Amino acid sequence: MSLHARSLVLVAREFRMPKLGLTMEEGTIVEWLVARGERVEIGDPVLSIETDKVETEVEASAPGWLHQVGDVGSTHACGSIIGWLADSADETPGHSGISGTMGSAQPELALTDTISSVLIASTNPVIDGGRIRSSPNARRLAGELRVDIRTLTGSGPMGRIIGADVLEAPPSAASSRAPDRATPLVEAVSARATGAARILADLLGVDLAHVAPDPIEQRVTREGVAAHVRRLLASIEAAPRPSGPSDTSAPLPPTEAPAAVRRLTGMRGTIAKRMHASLTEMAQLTLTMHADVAAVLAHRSAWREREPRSTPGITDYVIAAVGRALRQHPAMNATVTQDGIVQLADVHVGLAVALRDGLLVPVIRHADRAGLVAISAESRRLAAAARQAALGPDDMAGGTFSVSTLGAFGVDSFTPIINPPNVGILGVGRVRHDIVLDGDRVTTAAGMTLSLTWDHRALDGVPAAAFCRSIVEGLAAPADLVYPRSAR
Amino acid sequence: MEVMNEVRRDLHRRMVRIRLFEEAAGRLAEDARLPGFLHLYVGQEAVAAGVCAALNDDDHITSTHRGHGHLVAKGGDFNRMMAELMGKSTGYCKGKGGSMHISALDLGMLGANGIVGAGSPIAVGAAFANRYRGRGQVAATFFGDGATNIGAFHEAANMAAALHLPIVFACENNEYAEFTARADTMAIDHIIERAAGYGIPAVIVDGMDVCAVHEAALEAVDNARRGNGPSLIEAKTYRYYNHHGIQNLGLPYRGDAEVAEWKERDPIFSFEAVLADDGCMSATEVEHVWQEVRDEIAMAITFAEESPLPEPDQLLVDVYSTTSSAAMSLVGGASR
Amino acid sequence: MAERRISYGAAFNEAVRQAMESDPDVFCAGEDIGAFGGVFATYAGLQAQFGRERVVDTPISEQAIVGLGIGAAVTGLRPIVDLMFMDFICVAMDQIVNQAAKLKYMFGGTATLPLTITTAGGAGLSAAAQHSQSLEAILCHVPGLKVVFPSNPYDMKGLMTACIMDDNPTVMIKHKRLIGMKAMVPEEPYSVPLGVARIARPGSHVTVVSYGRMLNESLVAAEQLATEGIECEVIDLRTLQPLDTATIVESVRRTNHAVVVHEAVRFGGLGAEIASQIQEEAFDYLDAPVARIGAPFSPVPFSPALEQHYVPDAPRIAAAVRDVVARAIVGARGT
Repeated sequence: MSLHARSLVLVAREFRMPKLGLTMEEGTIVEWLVARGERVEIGDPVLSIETDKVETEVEASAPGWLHQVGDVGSTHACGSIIGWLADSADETPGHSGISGTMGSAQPELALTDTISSVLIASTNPVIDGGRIRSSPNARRLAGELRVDIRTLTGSGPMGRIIGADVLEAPPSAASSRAPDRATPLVEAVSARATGAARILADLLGVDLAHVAPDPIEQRVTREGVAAHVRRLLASIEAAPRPSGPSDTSAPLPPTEAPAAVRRLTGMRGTIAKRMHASLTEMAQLTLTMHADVAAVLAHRSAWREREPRSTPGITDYVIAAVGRALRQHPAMNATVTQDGIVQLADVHVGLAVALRDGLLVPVIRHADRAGLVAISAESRRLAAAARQAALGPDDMAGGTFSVSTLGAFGVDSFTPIINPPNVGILGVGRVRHDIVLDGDRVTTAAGMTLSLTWDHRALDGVPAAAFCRSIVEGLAAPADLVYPRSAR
Repeated sequence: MEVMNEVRRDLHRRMVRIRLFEEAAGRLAEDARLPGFLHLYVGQEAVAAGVCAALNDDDHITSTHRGHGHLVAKGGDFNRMMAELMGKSTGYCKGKGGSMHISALDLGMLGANGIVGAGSPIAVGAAFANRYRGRGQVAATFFGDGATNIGAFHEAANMAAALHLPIVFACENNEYAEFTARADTMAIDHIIERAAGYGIPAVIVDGMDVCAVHEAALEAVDNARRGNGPSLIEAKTYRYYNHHGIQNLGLPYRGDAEVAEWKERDPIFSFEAVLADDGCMSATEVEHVWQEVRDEIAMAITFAEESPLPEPDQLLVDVYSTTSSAAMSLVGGASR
Repeated sequence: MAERRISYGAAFNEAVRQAMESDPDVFCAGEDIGAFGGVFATYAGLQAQFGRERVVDTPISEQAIVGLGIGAAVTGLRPIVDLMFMDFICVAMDQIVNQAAKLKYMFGGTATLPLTITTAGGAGLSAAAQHSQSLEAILCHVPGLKVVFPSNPYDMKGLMTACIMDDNPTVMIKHKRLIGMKAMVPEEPYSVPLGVARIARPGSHVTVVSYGRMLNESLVAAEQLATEGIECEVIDLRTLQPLDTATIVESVRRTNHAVVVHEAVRFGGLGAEIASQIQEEAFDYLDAPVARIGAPFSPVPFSPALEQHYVPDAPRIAAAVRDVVARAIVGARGT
C-alpha cells in the first residue's frame, strides 16, 4: 500500500538492540539505566542487556532524550528498535508514529486514529524479539491443520502471519495435514470463559464445555474450572476401583502439581533453544577413542615440580592437541551454511564451563598455534570470568570447535551436542588407571576416553576418526604442545 | 379544624410505631445486626404521622434518606421493613434496597432515597399521573430543609406549580443538613419563603405537634384533590439522633442542651399529656399501645432474623423488566 | 403493506403518534415539544392531535422532566420525555442514573418503569461543544438502562415503537444529521426488537461494527472498499444496550478482522467495550488487532473547518479497514 510520506518524518533517532558478537541474535533488556524522557549524552550507559552469553551495558551513540520502547525482561532481535533518542523530552515518537506531527500542518494525519501507517510500512522482521508475529487466528488454524508456522511468510500488517497464510501454506509446511479441513483436530473453543479459566483448563486438560458457567459472570471462571476438577477428583475417589485394566477413556486426574517451574528464559532458554536446534538441524553422531595420557601425566608432574602455579590442567593439554589436530584436519574446522560447507581460516576452541545453573563456552583463540602456557593462562582466566559473570562478548564469540569435559564428575564417555555453528565437539572423560597387557606383561596405564561428536553433513566417519587419532597422538607427545607454533 | 378523638388515637399509634421501630433499629445497628447506613427518624414522628394520616391508601409519597418513619406512617409492615433493613429476601425490596431505598409501591410509598432532594421530581411525576388518570389521587413529597438547597427541589416545585399539579410539599425542617446547621447554609429563616418564589401557598406548623401538622396536611391535601395545585408545609421539627446511627450527644455541631430542650417538647409524650387531659386516652390505654407495638416489633425482629438471605442468583434478577406494553401488544414485529 | 418514503424525524413522529393512538397511558413531556413541535420538529403536530395534557410543554428543568417521567411511569403511565440535546442528560444525570435506572432493582423488582427518554445526539451542525456530543457510552455503562441509536428511518420507527412498548427505561438517541434522511417506511405500526443488531451489508473480509450516523458512513466506505476487492460486513448495532455481542462475534469469526466505528470520543467509547468483547469471544479468530475509529479526545469544535476533522467519515473508515486487512488482501486470497 502507498504510504503517506509525511507520516514518516520522524525527528528522533532509533535506538536498536546492539549486536555484540558474531553469534548474538537477540538480547533481553535487564534494566533501563536512564529513565523515560531523560537526557543522555554520547557514551552514557543507557541500558543493560543480557545476551545468551553475557550481561553488558549499552551506551548511547547519540545525544537526545530517551524514549523507551522495550520493556524490562523483553527480548529483542539484534537491530530491532528498543527506544528512541528524541530531540526533546516531549516527543513521543515510535509506536504512535503520528503524534510527532500532531498539531502541525497535517491535521488529517494527526486525526487518523487507526493503526498507524508507519507501522504498516515498517521493515521490522517477522521475527520480532524472538517471537514470530502471527495472529491468534493463524495460530489456531496452524494448530488445527498442523502447519509449522515458522515456515510461513506473513502477509498481514507488519508481516504478521495471518489465517490466510496458514490456509495457503505449501504442503511441506504441514507435517501431517488433517485430511479434511472441515473437521479440525482441535475443536474450536466455543464456551464462554475467562482467560484465566482457559489457561487453567489448558493446563489441566479440562474441556471447558463441561464446566458450568459462573451464574454472575455468565461465563466459565477459573474458580469454576477448579471446582469442576475438585468434583472430578472427588468422584474418582468415591468410585469403586475397577478390578480389570483401567479405563483409559475416564478423565485423568490432573498431573501432580509441579514442585517448581523454571521458565526457559535467559541462559537456560538459550541453552534449551540452541541445543534443541543443534540436534534438530544437524546429522550428529559420536565416536569414542581411547587416549593414553601417561605421557601427559608425567609431563604435568614434572611441570608441577618446577612451576606449580602455572601447571596446565589435563584439559589444557587436550585443547592444545585439539587445536593442532584441527589445523591438520580443516574439514573439522568448518561450518555448514546455505552455500555449503565453509572451512574456517582460524582455529578457536570453545571450552564448556559449567556454572551453577547453566553453561558457558568461552573461546581460546588460535588454539592451533598457542602454547600450553598461554592456553593454560587463558583457560584459567575464562573459567574464572565465566563464574563471576564477567565475560565480555569477545570472550565467547567465534569458536570454531568445542571441548567439553565431564571427567571431573566420573564420566568416561558421553555424546556431547555440537555447539552451532560448529561441526564438531570433543567430550573429555576422566583419567583412568587401567591394568593393561603390554606384550606378555601386565602393567598399568593411564588413559581417558575421548568422545567426538561431529556433523555427518560436513564430514564422514573416517576423516572424523583420523581427526580424533591426531588428538590422541598429540596427547602422546605433550612436549610438542608446550611451545607456540608459527601461523603457517 | 377539630381533630376527632378517633383520629387522635390513630395519630398517636402511628407515632409510637415509628418511635419504637426506630429505637429497635438503632439498637440492632449498635449490635451490628443491621448492615449499612441507618438514618433514624426519632423526634420527627409528628410530621410523617400527621401528613400520612391525611392521605388515602392510594395516594403517593416520596421519601428521603430518613425514610422509615414515612413508610411506617403510610402503613408499612414491620416484618417486611425489618427484614429489608437486615438485607433479607423477605424484605420489602428483597434485600436489594435496604434502609435508604425502602419502598412499598402497594402502599403508594415510592421509596426512600439516597440522593437528597431527588424524591421531589418523582413525586411531581406521580402527581401528574394522578391528575392524568383523574381518579382524585394526590402525591406528597417529604424532604428536609437541606434539600431545599439543591436544584432538583426547585425544578420540582416550579414544575408542579407551572403544571398546577396535585401535590403537597412536606418540608421537615429539623435545622440540620446532615451535620451543618441550617442557618449556615441559607440566608433565610423559613423554608416557606422559597415557596413564594414559585407561587406555591405555604404554611409553617409546629412539627412537634402532630395535630397541627395533621390539620395543615388535611387542608393541603384537600386543596390538591380539588385541583387547586400544590402547597407547601414547613414543619419545624428536630432530629434526636445524629445524621446517621444512634449516637446521641457530645458531637461538636450542636449542643447537648439544645437536644435536651427539644426533647422537652417530645411529640409523643406531649401529645399523650393532652390525650390524658382530654380523657381521650387513659394512661393504661396509652401503655397498652406501647406494649402492643413492642410485641409486634419483637416478632418482626424474630421474623427478620429467621428469614433467609437472598440467594446469589438473585443478584442479576430485576435489573430489567422482561415485559412490555399490553395495550400495544397488537403492534407487529419488524419485517426486516 | 403500504410503504412511503418519509424522513427519520417523521418516522420518529409517526411511532410516537401511533403509540399514543393505541395506548392512552402514553404521553409526552419536554421543552418546546408541544405548541412548537420540538426543535427538530420530531414532536410536530402531536399536541394539536392529543392535547396539552398528553403533549406537555415543560419548564427548562431536565431533572424535573426526567423525574416527571419516572414518577408517572412508576405509578402506571407510559411516558415519553424529551431532553432536547443529548448534552443535557448531564443536567439530569441523577434522575437518569440514580433513579430511573435503579428504581426497579432497589425496590426488589416491584417497580416497573416503562419510560422512554428521547434526545438528539451527534455533531455536524456547528453546534459546538455543549450541543454536539455523543455520550451513549456513559448511558450504556449504567445497569438498568436500555440505549438505542437508529441509523435510518425504518429502524427509527420500529425502535422507537419498541422503546415505548418496553417496560424499562430506554434512551432513544436521534442523530441530528439524520433527521432529514428519507427511506421507505411502512405505515402500519411495527417494532424492531431491542438488543438485536442487523447485518446491513454482508461481506467476508472484515467486520465493520457501527451505529447511528457512522453506520451510513461505514456503508459508503464499504462501497469504496468493494471496488478495491475488500468486502466489508457492516453491522448496524441499532441497540447499544443490551449489546448484540453474538452477532458481532459470529461475524468476526468469519472475517477474522474487525473495525468499530463511532462518532463518540474514541477513548472509553463503546468501541473499547466491543473490541474487548471480540477479544474475549473471538481471540483465536483474529488476524489483526481490532481497530477503533472515533472522535479525537477533545470537545466538539465549533468551526466547520475543525468539526469536519473531528467527525469520522468514510475515507477515514476506509483507511482504517485497509490498515487492518490490506496486506491480507494483496496476494493472499483465493480460499
